[in-house]
Amino acid sequence: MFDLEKALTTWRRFLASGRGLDSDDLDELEAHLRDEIDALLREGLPPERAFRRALAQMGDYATIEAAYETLHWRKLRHERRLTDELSHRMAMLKNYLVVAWRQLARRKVFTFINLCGLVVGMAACLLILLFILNELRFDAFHTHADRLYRVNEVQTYPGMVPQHVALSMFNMGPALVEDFADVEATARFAGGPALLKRGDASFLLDRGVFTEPAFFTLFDFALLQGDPATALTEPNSVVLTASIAQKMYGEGNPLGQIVTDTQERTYTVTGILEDVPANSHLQFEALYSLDTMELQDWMLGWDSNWVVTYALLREGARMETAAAGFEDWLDSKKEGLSEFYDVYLQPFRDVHLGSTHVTHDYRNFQKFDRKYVVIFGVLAFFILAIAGLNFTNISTALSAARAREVGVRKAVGARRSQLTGQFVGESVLQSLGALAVALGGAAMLLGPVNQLAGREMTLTTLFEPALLAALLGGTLLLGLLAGLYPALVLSSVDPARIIKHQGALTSGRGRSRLRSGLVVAQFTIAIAFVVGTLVAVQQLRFLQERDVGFAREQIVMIPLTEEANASYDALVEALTASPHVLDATASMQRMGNNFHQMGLRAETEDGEMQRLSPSHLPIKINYLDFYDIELVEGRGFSKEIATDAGEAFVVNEAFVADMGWAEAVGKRINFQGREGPVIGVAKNFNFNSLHHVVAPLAISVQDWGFDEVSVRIEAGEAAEALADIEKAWAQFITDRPFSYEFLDQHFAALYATEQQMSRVVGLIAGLALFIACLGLFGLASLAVVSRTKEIGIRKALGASSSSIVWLLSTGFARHVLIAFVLAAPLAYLVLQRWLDDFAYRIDLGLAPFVLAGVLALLVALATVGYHALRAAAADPVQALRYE
Amino acid sequence: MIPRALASATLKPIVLSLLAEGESYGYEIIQRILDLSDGQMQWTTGTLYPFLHSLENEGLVEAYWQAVENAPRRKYYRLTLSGRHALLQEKQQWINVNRILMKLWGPSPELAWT
Repeated sequence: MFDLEKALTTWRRFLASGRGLDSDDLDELEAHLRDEIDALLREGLPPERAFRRALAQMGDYATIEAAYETLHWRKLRHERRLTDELSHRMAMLKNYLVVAWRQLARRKVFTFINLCGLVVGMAACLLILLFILNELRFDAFHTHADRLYRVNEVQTYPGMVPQHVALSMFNMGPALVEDFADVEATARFAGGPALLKRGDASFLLDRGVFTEPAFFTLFDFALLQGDPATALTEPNSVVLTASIAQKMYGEGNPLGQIVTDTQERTYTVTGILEDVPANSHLQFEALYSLDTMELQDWMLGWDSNWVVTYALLREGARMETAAAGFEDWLDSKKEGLSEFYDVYLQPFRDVHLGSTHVTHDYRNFQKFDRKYVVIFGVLAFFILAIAGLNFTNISTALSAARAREVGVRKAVGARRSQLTGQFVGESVLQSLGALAVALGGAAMLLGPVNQLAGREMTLTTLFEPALLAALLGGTLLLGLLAGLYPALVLSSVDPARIIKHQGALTSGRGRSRLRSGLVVAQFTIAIAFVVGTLVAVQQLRFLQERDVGFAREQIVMIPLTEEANASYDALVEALTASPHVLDATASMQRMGNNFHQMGLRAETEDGEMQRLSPSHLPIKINYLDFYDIELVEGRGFSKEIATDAGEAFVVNEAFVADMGWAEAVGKRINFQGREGPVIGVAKNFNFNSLHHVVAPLAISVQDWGFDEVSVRIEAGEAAEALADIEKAWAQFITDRPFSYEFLDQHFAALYATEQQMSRVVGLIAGLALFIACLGLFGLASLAVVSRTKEIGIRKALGASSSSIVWLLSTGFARHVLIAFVLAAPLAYLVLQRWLDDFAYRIDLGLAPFVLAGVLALLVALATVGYHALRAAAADPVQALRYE
Repeated sequence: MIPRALASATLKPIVLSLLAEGESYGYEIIQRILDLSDGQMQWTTGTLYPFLHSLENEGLVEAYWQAVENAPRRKYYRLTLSGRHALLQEKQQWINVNRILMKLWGPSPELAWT
């Protein structure tokens, strides 16, 4: 029997649970409801229908409460009951936090898996972000950075592949200022002494350069002492960086002191510079005044390129207009010059990341490839995506188990927005926590990463307000996205249903499909990364193990000074006297570099002399034998034949092909006024890095002095050999301490960028796989839990353990296979493009794909297998009692 | 039925005018509007009560309780002095609106295509 009074009491209690209505409000509303009901009763309606209709006419509960709540806040301000309200809200907040904490604590493994993936992903992202920022901000600290340019050339001499070079002619700088109104100033750089003496003490510098006073106009390198206007105006001046000055003079005042270089030139110290920051492509420890140099005629010529020139354009000047007249300008300096040279301005900020195509680029510290910065960014995005997917995935799976909590909360009056807020809040809190831990992790890993990348990054970069805001914002967004899905799903459930049929949510078909989709996405990314790593490693090994056409093992390279050149023969005699040293030779340039191009004239098939500028390698007479360079025609240089030194030439196959010679041996070559025959043809060998095809090359024996001596030592006796070499060195060379590098180290350094890239990709591939497996592990265990009863019944009916394992594993294996099908073509396309950058490259085979697919499958099965085996081995009786 | 937007725009002048005739309570106000509009304008409790409360907060009306037999007490509202001022302002504005419409439609408008 319907009891009106009881119904009204229940109704009132229900409304009372809302925070917006106080008892006065309720009195008023109840009076209203009663009036309404009375009117309806008078119309003859039975009490229950009258009650229901009156209730319906009042409008729905949520609207009333919302309307009252808005009002409530306004009233609060009037009545200063804010503290009451706050304490209530705090109590609710505390309740949310307690529930959140219990959730986390009760499912330690899942919480760990869930947060672990996120932390690892975030830490990796933070580090990559730091690196990207470091690269993008390279050279940005100069005030005029946007008006600064480097003067580059494209050289197209006959007999060579056209090349971009970072070199320019000595007279270009001043002429640019004079002839172009848009050019405000220029500064030139040339290599300077790397060893300074104070009295008898020698100090080795990493880099010393000659430059001119305008240097201080162009760049922001700050002088701690001295006057920038005059520091470099006088010949024989030197400006030292603070740390080298400290090394040389300790606490004493270096200004006005005299230092000497190995050629006994003296310099007065006229200034102290702040140390050059690590994110500058220009690096030096000493600046010598350019006027100190004794310029020889060839250095002044309009076709010798040996300085690096920087130009500062006037405010508002545009690079394109400034460079418009360069072609005519070149011809006005020397007839026909523009035929061989194309001068252009390279924006200063592009030098670091945009110079991979530029050779003879010796003053470009830590030159990097913009492409790899982009690749790193994409990697960071993907790793974050995987971690985020993981987080959403496990959160969703976990929250399904909280359906009962939701049901109860709803039954006692929680509104949907409150529930959504609770779940989203929990996931936002977790992701913020993960960010904090990830920051700590990144801080710990920064040291090794700096070492790996050769950078000096600091975590403080991340604490710039804008960046910090972006990080926090990103993390909030991540938490929001990850929490939103489970929150919306859960808050939409019908409380009655969920309380009665607990667990109904865990087996929703649409939801499990979404989770599967997320797993597939994760594995797609992970597999693509693994394939990328395998291919990159394969290509790098190919580069390093490829037969370059000469012997490069067990060779020690030692730079030669003038003094060492003078006593070269005695030095070599002392070196080869050691039982651990096999042989020694010397050359102007080092293997692995782009050998300098020098102009010469060569006889064509028609007997005419044709101008061309191939790479040219001046060597000691035994060089070809030393490096075991194979000759395909003719002979090598011989000590027996007097004219071989200085007149005879050995050229490579590319040279012969370029000249179109049918018979190379005997053709005449005129070089710097002396003419001699080609005596042999060397098989093409890769003197430059394997990014490049073998360019035409001429080799001649010259007595100009050499840059470097190459010493071949006995295998396995490096330590003894180096000790002997150092002893011999000390015997003859006093002006410079002994320093060396192994040639294969030098070759490894040629591929340092790729090496770094492949290491990072490898690391990230590992992480991606790890995080994806964490996700899989969590999902598999949930799947096993939700199918406990099914497994129990199957076993009770006689299913074997292996069939249970099979049943549970195949589903996940299918996900990995789908991921493989998606990842393979993607990886193939990207890797093909990457490999196209190399002149010498591997063919993309099936192997890396198969290997990556199998690896992912095995790892996935191992992950799932653990749970499957446990489920299969469990006692079916226990399983049947479950729930 | 008068659309919700228009109904809530007229909330203030109508409620103030009704209370100017004499004190009243929520249920009665809703019923009177229903009568006056021939059932065309029906305000819900969720609209009217919060509105009455906000008028109270603004000091345009004041409320007092009156005991009722066998039921919760009833809350009555009456206009204050500033409520009367507010009504004058409302009236002025509505007269302006009315004047515009009269000019457009004539003194006794009819529903027809023009």
